[in-house]
Amino acid sequence: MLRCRDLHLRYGSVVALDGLSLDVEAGRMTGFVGPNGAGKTSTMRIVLGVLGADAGEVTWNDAPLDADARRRFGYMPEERGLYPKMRVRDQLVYLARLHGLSAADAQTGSDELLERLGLTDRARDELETLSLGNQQRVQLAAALVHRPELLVLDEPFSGLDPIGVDVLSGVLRAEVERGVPVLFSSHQLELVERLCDAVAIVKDGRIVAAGDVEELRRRGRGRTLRVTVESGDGAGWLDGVDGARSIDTDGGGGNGSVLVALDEHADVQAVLDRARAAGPVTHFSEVLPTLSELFREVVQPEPAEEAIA
Amino acid sequence: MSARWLVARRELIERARSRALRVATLLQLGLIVAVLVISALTGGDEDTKTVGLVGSASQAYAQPLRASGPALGVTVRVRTLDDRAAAARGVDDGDLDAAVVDGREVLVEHDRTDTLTAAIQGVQRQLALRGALERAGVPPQQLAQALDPSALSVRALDPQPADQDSRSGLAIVAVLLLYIAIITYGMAVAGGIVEEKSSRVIEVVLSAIRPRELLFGKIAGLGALALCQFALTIGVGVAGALALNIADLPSVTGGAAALVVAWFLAGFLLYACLYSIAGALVSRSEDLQSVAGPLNLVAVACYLVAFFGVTSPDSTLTTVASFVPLSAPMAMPVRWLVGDVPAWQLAVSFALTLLSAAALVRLSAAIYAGTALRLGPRLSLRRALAVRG
Repeated sequence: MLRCRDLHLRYGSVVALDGLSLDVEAGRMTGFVGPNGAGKTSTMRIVLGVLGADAGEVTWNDAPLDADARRRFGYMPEERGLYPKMRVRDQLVYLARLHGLSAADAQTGSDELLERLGLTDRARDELETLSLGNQQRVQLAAALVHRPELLVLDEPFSGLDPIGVDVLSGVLRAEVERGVPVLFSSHQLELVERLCDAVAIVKDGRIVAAGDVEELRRRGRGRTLRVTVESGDGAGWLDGVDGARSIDTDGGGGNGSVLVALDEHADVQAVLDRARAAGPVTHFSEVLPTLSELFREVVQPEPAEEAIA
Repeated sequence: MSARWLVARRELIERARSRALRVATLLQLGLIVAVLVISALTGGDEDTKTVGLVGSASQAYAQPLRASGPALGVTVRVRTLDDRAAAARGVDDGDLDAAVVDGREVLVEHDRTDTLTAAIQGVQRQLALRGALERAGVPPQQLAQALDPSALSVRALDPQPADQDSRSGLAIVAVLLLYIAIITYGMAVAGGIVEEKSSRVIEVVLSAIRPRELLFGKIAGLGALALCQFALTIGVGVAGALALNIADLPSVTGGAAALVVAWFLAGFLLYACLYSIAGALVSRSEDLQSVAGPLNLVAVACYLVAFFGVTSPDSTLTTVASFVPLSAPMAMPVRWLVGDVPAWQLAVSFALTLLSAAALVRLSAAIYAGTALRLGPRLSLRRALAVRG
């Protein structure tokens, strides 16, 4: 696994990273989210060694990261680009060899990947003659061609159409299943929520929330239920249930939908029994905040905090 | 295979694939062949002078003119013509180099004072003298002795090698080829660096290898390509000169070619490092011209100094230029080909050039490592040096 500890980086007077620590575990897809300028790209560049940190440590499988290990990483930078006049297959073979593959392995790897991405018939064309969508696929292939042991992708989904998103998601899933730790940054939080096992939220150069996506959504708050009782009227049926109270009665669209906040002693089954007694229950579910809501919560400063600042 | 080697191989293959390079190579070869053919066509009859003689009074000139050939370094032929008009036509067409009309008038095309005219005037004085002496009753034997004394022996204090002209020609061609190769491939290094930034491929490449591996792989690849083109041009030139029999190639051709190639490599490395610094300062090709411009001017100035060194290989300017690292790769081969250069001077100058190249290799690597990922407006050299690697 990849471990970043206490990374610091300044550009002149601007603090880019301020003690950032991040783990990317094997076999897990980790989403890296945060406002623009929070330090995502800097962190990724430090991991790939194209940028040096002022202080802090990056380890790979518990050993300090060196050039040899980095050569086996795959990277898609935010600024996309390959050699415009080089042929697609030549380009992939070349990059694979720069990452340390033998000529034969580089060629088989390139051919397989082109096949998988549906680019076999463009293999001998110069990159600049391809459509933008196909160029994006080649860019992805460039990150994968040497069968990397870690994948780092900076905004890989930006600019992709829905089909492209599906292709990329599938490819990343397959890499994760191969046991490769995958770290990608994105502003598309619904996508991150859907795809990722773990997420790290960064703000002002430090991580403000990180961990399992489900866990993060539950952490530090009581459970909330949405209950819909057909022909029910208001939340009167909830009166007297221990530790439960109604917080919203029409958020779900009127007809008998109630949002119920529970404290830690509350008995969910008791709520269900009471609801069934009031009428037929058509909906009963636990409600978790979306990643977007969570993101706004941790990233936006509290009004009071802002006033102090 | 090392990263440097892979980068060099890519540069070589991708450049060789480009149409621009093929066209440029063909043009250069075409130019060399054209120069060879033209000199073969025009140079051939330089060794023969033809003089037309009109009227009986001119006939006495025939024998003395032929006899004056060796002193002029040519073979003199004479031809008898019917009248002045025919002689004028012959001179005008270039069939005749000069014509003597009735022993009173000399016709030439342009130059009234060339050596052939002087020889004709000499013959006229000789004939007048012979007439006067004959009329004075000098016996024929004495007359012959007086008019045809044994020639003075001539000794050159500072003799020129017999192939001096060929050596100068070779030096002119060599310095031009050096200049073209250095400036073309130097700019190719700078252009390649900027292209990787403007196409943004640089970050992908640098996630796999180190900046200095990329930089020196690129310089090595382009240098190898330049060397191939350089060797091809020289090869075609030498082969063409031998085939068309254009004159005596200097006896030193093999060694001279090796020397020029060695100087090319040193000069290319030196200039490639400088051009790579120019490329490191900008991230768009539009900005490259303004940064590389001063460097191009330096290269042109060094070329001109070396070029004029062909005619004055021993002047102070040429001597100094043959030691200054930026001009040495062009000026020293010129001095070596044309003049007399002690071997130690050649060795010192070559060592100085290599030392400065080594220093520039370190400097350019440091600057490149600090600026390779930097996109945006042009950097000043001072800021580039301050950027962390």
